[in-house]
Amino acid sequence: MATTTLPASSSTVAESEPPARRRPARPGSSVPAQVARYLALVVAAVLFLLPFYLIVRNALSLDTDITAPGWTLFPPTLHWENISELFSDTSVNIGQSLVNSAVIAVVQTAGQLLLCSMAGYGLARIPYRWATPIFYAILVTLMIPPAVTFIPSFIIVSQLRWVDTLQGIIVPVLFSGFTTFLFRQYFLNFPRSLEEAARVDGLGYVGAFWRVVVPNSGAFFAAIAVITFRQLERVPVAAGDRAGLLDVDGAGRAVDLPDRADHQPARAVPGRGGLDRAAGAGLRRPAALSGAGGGRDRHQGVSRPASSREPVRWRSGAGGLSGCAATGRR
Amino acid sequence: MSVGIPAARVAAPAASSRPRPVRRRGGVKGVAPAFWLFVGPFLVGLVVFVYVPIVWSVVLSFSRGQNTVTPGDWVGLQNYLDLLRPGPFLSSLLTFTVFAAFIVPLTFALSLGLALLLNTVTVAKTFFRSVFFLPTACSYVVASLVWKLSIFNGVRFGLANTVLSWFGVGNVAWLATTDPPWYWVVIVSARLWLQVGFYMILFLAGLQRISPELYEAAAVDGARNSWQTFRYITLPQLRATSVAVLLLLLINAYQAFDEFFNLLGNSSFARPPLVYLYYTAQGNQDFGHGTAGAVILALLIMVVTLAQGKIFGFGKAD
Repeated sequence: MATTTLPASSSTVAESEPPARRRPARPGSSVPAQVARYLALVVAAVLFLLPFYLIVRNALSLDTDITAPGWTLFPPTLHWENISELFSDTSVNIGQSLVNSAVIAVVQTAGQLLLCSMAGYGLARIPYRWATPIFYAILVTLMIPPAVTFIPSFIIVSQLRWVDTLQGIIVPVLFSGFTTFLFRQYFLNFPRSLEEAARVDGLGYVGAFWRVVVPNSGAFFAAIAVITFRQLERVPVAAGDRAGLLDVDGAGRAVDLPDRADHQPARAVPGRGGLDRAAGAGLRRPAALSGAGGGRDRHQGVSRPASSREPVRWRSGAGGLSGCAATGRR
Repeated sequence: MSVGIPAARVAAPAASSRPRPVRRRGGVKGVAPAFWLFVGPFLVGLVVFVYVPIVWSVVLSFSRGQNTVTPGDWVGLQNYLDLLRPGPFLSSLLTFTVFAAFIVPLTFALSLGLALLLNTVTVAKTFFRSVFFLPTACSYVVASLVWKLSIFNGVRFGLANTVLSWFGVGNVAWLATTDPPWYWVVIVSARLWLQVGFYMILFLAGLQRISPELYEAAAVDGARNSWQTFRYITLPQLRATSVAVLLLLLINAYQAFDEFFNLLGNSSFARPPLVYLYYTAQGNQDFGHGTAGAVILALLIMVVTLAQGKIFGFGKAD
């Protein structure tokens, strides 16, 4: 792959001084090479888009379309009613779930950006003697798998009486060592001259940060927001399940997330029925995909814990796929 | 929420610095108060929601912890000794090793390749970049389900088998067979699809920081072809990015959970450490062994990271 590539900057170099060059055509800039590059990009793009196409195709199909012997690009009739049926399904309040998700993701992203950018700036720019040890202490948390803190952090959430509340899901994940790490690395490379100019103009660290550094870091903040937003999509479910983890008396949950719709049978919805059943039917029984199975077997292959505890982070096709397909959820 | 306080306090010094006859530091005087103003709120949360749970887990790993998360009934190192005997935990570490051996070099090569490719084109560059980044926005569970139910479902109408049948290849039971272990194709390709775009962006950022003069100089010095400029200019200049990418890839591979959990469940043949520990702690309610295994895992990750940091550095303040 590397032989077909050439950094863009060198081709601009070639253009800027064409007569002086002893090599008329660098291997990377010839027309065939250019064509080959675009060909490679197009092939890669098709492969990357393929799963999204499958989501859309299956979302608009009936079971019989999905399991038909010949492959069809799209089913003969598009079943848009799958989506409206999903939203009118009384057993899964997908609308409320999406609202919850949106609130959680927005608040968490904003909170993380605020807390972590400030922490990252302090670590990168304020020459405090404990800055480096504290940075290492934060770095260590990057290496701790979530499994280590899973149960104790539920207990802390419950001590705060935050179980089954939005803040119980939002607050614990605000303090992301990873995001702080990224911000610190970014601020290390932020042009010092700008901050020094702010300093000369009489601003302290706080003023320099808010009036010079932040306004000039929009692109980076946006990038981190995207990354955070997308990572959080995984976390709240863990937290939400955490909330359900020791909830043995099965008290009703105040918070329902789209990804958690799995505890509701969704078999009534055509088109998704096959997916749902297959989702739970376990990989060892692909025959269940034939659509012949009863609606209730969707959980069998997943070997759920026997008690009322929901398996942590298991989310079914119903919420996940439709959430993604119907709403473009990030 | 206490989160709002720093923001509110920030507005004040900005406004009050208007007269500024002597005040050079805005509102906060001295290095230490400023540092704690910036880092303090984050640190408090980190201690409460990350460090306390970590310590709790470590303490719990020394007690029996069957059906309880309250430490007590001390067993010393017994949980650790149990896990380090040949058995499912050690084999899960082997699974991780195989997985990392696949996923780390593949992701690295593919994302770097895509970044280099994108960096050379001008037309539709943004489009291709968005397309490659798009899967990053998808959840692991959604991807796992698409992979399991639509692409690699092992029956006739699955996409992979449909494509294979065009070439006269019979059905492959992707996830349901261990010989040959086709499930690795499914697992690795799912994660590749999900994460390549993200690392590609990191590489693109790194590529754009390389000064054009370096390539000019290389051309003057007689760099013959793009391979030489890549080998002697691009790759060394990407060193910091590459180190970061490798580190993140390795840590992420260690923490693999979602795709294994959703694609393979509690399979004995390919169960990475977190999936095994999950079933130990949540399935069997054996929190002692569960936390002990998690601590071992955390220590392993730390050793690898610190070794890598010792060798390559973490990007200290310049």
